[in-house]
Formats: sequence, C-alpha cells, structure tokens
Amino acid sequence: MLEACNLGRRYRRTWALRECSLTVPAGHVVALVGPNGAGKTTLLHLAVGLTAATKGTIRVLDGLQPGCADALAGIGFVAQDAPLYRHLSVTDTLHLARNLNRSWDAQAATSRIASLGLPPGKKVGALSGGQQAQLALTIALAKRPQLLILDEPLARLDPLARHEFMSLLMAAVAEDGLSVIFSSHVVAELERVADYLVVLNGGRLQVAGEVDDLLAGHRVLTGPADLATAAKAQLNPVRTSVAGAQAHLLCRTSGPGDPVPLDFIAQPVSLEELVLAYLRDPSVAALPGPEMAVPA
Amino acid sequence: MTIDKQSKQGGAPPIVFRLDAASGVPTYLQLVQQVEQALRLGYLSQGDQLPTVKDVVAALAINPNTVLKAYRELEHRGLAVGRPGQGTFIEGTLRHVGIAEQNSLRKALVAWLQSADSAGLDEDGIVAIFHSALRDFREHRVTGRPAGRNRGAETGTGQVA
Amino acid sequence: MTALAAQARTPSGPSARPVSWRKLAWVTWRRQRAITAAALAVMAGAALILVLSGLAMHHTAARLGPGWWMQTRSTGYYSWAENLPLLLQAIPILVGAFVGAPLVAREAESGTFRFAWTQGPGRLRLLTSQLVPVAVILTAAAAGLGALIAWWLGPLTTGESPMSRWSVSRVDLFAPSLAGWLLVSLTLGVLCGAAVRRTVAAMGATMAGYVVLAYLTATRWRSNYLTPLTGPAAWSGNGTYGGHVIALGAADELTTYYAWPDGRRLTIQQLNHGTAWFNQHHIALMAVYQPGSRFWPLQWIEFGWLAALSLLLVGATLLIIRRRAA
Repeated sequence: MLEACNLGRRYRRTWALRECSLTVPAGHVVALVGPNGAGKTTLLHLAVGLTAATKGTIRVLDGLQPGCADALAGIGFVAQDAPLYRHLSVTDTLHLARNLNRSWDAQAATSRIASLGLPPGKKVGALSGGQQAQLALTIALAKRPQLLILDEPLARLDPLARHEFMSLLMAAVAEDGLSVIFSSHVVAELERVADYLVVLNGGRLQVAGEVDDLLAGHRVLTGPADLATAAKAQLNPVRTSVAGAQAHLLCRTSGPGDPVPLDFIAQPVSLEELVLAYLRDPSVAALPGPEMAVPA
Repeated sequence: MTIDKQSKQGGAPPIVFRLDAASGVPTYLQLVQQVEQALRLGYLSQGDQLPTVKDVVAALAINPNTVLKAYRELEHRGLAVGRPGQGTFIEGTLRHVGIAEQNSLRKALVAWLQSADSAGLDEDGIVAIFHSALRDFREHRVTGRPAGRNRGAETGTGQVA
Repeated sequence: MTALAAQARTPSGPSARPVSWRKLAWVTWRRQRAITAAALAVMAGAALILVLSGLAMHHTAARLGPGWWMQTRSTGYYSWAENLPLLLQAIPILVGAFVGAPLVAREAESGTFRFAWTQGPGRLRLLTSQLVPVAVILTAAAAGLGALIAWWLGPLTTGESPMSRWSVSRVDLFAPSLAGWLLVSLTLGVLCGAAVRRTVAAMGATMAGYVVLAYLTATRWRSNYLTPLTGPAAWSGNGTYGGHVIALGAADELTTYYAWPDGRRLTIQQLNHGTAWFNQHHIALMAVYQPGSRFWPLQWIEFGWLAALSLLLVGATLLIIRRRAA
C-alpha cells in the first residue's frame, strides 16, 4: 500500500521527516501516531502528492508515484479539519466531487448522507465540525478508493461524533475491503480500530508493525527493584519505571515461551502503554527487519 | 470465512454485542465470551445466525478483523460455522462437562484454595494468581495455534524478535 | 488481513480514463460563475452607458455636422468623453484583482486546495480548466466592449477634433488593446495569487503590477512598436500636423523640431531668430510621428505582446503550482 525508502522532507532548515523507510501492507487499518509535530501530516501529504520528498522515495498502491492520475483516483484523502468549500451546499459539494473524480458511487453517497441526517440544502459552512468530517469522509468513500488516508480525523469531534465517524469508516472497511491509514495524536481507543501501528517521533520512524505482533512481542516484567536494575543490561527494556522496592520493565519478548526471570512476573501490555513507552524514549525503536535500533 | 454482505435471513440475529473498553480483555475475546454466555443462557441456539461483521463493526466501531478473529475462534471451539455468502451460524453447543467431572474439579479447587490459604494468601491474592494463570493459559492456547498468526499473502511485518 | 484483502474490490465504473473536460467544465461553472458574472455585469453596465449616451451623441453629431462638439460643449459630451475612459480603464485592473487573484489564492488561504488537488484531475488540469474558460469569456467581452468604445469615440475623434484616439487615456480602450490588457491583468492576478497565497495581498500585488506595466507601456514602449516616421509638418489651427495625426505618448514624445533643408536640427540659439530668417534659410518644421494608417496595426501589436506575456504568466503559474508544497 505504501512504500517509503529513506524518505525525508525538509522545510527550509528543519527536517519534518527523515530517514523514513516503511512498508505498509494492504488490507489493514493503519494508525499513524506521534506527538504534534512528529511528521505525521508531512508523511500523509507525501503519500497523496500534496508535498514532494526532499530525499528518498515514496510509492503508493502498487508502486505508483503519489499525485499521478491513478494514485489520485485510487486514494481518498481527508485533510486535517476536513476542508470543504464553505459556501456550497451539501448537495453541490457532492456534485462537485462527483465531477472531480473518475468513478463515483452516487447512490451510496446520497444514502450515507441521508442516514447521517445531513440536510442536503444546508451550506457546508453552517454544518458542525462533526458533520463536516462525516461529509468529507462520505466524499472520500464515494470515489471508491483502494486506500483511504485521513489526517487526524477525530481531532475536532465530540465522543458521539467520533463513534459515528469510526463506525462509518469500519463499516466501509468491512464492506469494501478498503485499506485505511489515519493519523492521531490520541492513543487511547486505537486498539479497537487499528491492526497496524506506525509511530513517528521527532520526524523519525520509531515503531512499525502489526498490532497483534507488537502486543505479543512485548510484556511487562514486574519484580524487585534491585534485581530489576541488575537485569536491565541483559533484558534491554524499552521502558523502566522503578520505585523503592518494585520496578516494572517493559521488555520485548519472543513469545509466550520466553522464560520469565526468577522473582519476576510477566504481564501483557496494552497498546496505549506500549506507544507511550516508545514515545517517551525516542532512541528506541521497534521496526521490522534488520533495522532495529536499540539503545547502546 | 467470508464477510457476509447480505441482509440477515429470517429477521434480526438473536444477540447483539457490546464492548467493555476498560475491562482489559481483548476485544475479540469479549465477543467470543458473549456468544458463549448467550449459548449458556439460552439466547442462542443451534442454527441461529450471528450478527454480520458489517453490523457488528458499525455498532461498535471496531476493526472488522477483530470480529473475524472472534468468529474464527468460535469455529475452532466448534461453536459456530461460517457459510460462504450467508453468514456465521451457531453449530454445536458448549461442551458439557459431566456432573461427576465437575464435582471432582471442584474438589481439586477447594483443596488448592485450602493450601493457598495455609500459605498465607488472602482472597485478593488468590484472585490475582488465578487471573494471571488464566491469562497465560488462554494466550498459550490462542497463540499456540497457527490460525492466530496466519496472514496469508501478506507477510507479518512487525515481527519483533 | 487476508480475508479483507481477498475482498479487494475491483474498481467499479470507468477507471482508466481521466476525468473528462466536460466534468471539469461543470466544476469551473460552479466555482467561477459568480465572479465571472459580476465582471460581465460591470462590463454590461459600462456598455449600457456607452450605448445610451453614444446613440444620443451620434444623433447630435449627425444633426449638427462637422465641428458639432464646439456647439455642444455645454451639454457635457465632451467632458464625459474626457472622464469616462478613466473609469473604463479600471475594468482590466478590477478583473485582474477580483477574478484573477482569488482563483488560486483563496484555495490556498482557506486550505481547500488540500481537497481540490487530491481529487481526480490533479492541480495542473484543475487550474487550466478553471482559467481558460474564464479568460476566454472575459477577453471576448472586453473585445466587444472595446468595439463599442471605438464606435462611441467615433464622432469625438474624427475631423479636426482636438480629442485624439491616440491619447494615453484612450488608446488602450480599443478592442485589441483592451482585450490584451484584460487578459494580462487576469493572468497576472492568477500568478500573484499562486505566488502570494493570500487573497488580499495578491489583489494588491496584481494592481501594483498592472499599474507598473501600464505605466511603462504608456511612457516608453508603446511609441516604439514601430519606428516612427519623420517628415515635414505644418501647423494647422487645432494641433494636428500636416494632416497626419501624430502618435501621442506622454507629452514629450510628441517630437517636433525645426530643421535645415538638409535635415540637421537647429540649435537652441538658432531658434531665436525671427520668422524672416526662418523663411530665408528655408527652415522647415519637422515632426516625428506615427501616421494614422498605423493605428490598427499598432493596436494588434499591443494585443500580440500582451497575449504572449499572458501565456508566459500562465506558464509561470503552472510551474509555481507544480512545485508547491502543501
């Protein structure tokens, strides 16, 4: 779906993204997380051809150049804050989008609008933030893309709107076999939705992998603080939290068969905990292949 | 297992799923447990259709793969079967453990509880050990199967050493 | 996930063909109709004024015969004719600022380009499909308006009227020139919008650029389209020379000088001699001028280079947009 090789993008003197090599497989719902300014929007804009790479290459779908006609037709994109023409009505916006795309499922679009309860004659500027986001998503889905890219789609939505947005999205994934890449700086609630995770931190790729594999590949070892400090060198934890008598080490593991050190107990780790641990320490990474960067 | 797109046959499915996000139990497992619970309590019986993937996903806003995983797990447990193009249906029942066997299991449990008590473990400690052991047991059972790692054409990137 | 990937949909509908120009035409219609209609309305308003006043003026001129304007000065046609062109000059500037500048700048400013440039046609085809129809329609309207102005100025600039169609305030209102100026203003506006990305600033830049261009043309370039002729002239009562109408740019380009029979100019001291001395030495009055027959060729030359410049501006705009980062 998306292949980046040593991808970098510089704005004047700052590198918004650098040395990003990533292969995202098709048929997944990919969550792209990272703090603000980590380069998520830059990566997404590179993928849809709004920006060009300063260094490295990026290919989308089946080796297409982002921004070429086939890529534009095969990717549905909703930018941050779901920009639409504020003076057009809902119907006019749909008509406009229909005329801007090769293929268009008009019936699906109108039925979605109806089921969402969006008044067709209302101007886009008069809709709420959640409604605008729903409309933008409907448009992106109606062009029947193979890949949907969403830049922080939930940022301005209230909890109900978030749920409705996600349920619309997941239903489309279930129905059409769509691949999705969406960025978020909120990590909670990702676990329900995403099955592939990419973490960007400070413009660099930190984590990339299937959620199931990442969760199966990490565990928290809880044990006495003094033993934990001694075992650190050997266990190479991603994150350590030490108290007076007790310590937790978030470590990588090869699977359920991996022996637990004496006096320690092993517990599974949640996605949120995992992501936060990696975000706190930019020097560690969990990347596929031989590129795994471990702290010295 | 295929994703069924057709509307349900013969009316709405008997059960609807809910999700407890804070429970710490993996989502797919919650779905499996809810089906088993429904079977136990009689809401579901042989031949009933489970909710379609699309409907579950639209109601709960979860990844369709999770539902597929749950339905696959139910198949492995012999509780359901997927019919291509139609949906997933209840087939078979929960394994009934015989009364005698249940009694002997109970006795063993009580004996263990007594030894735990004499070792000084209080109730909360007992519960903690039990949950931890249960988790390990379940994980071993799930990930030990090839199905859990089966990605088909896509290679599993993110395999962490 | 395999199950979902296996469901990978075959794209429905025509997917190999690019978005058709007809579809893009609808998009242009929907997005640009309001502002284009407003520009056309302004030109129609001007046209209406010209028609109404022009009909009356032609009637009066026909009724009164040659020199009619001397008799009707008090009725105001003459002062109208002095002032109206200045208002008409505003039309190209306004079109450039209000139609051209927002074309790209508004999309950039409001962020909607992140929507528009990620749909089917891509940014270059989208811009072209928006700009070309608008440019064609407004340029054609300007040509029509220019023809109307030429008709309107007719009675005022023929014969021995001191009002000249060559004067700076009027010469660029004729059809080829007006169309050219409107086109260049529009494309300059689009370029400024693409470069500056803020609507109001782009409008200002457009107007400033247009004024500079118009000033340079009027003061330096226009008189050099074709090399002026030099020839003997004679004073006649109202300022035309020897029956020719001399090209006017800024006042000092109207060059007349006294010369010896062999063509040498008189020096300043020699100019102080009296008329008798002039006649004795057969000093003649020479003028550097453009003959009246060159009026329309010069108009078309002006249109030509303005159109070429417009193409360059569009090319520059496309280059800027192609490389623009979001």
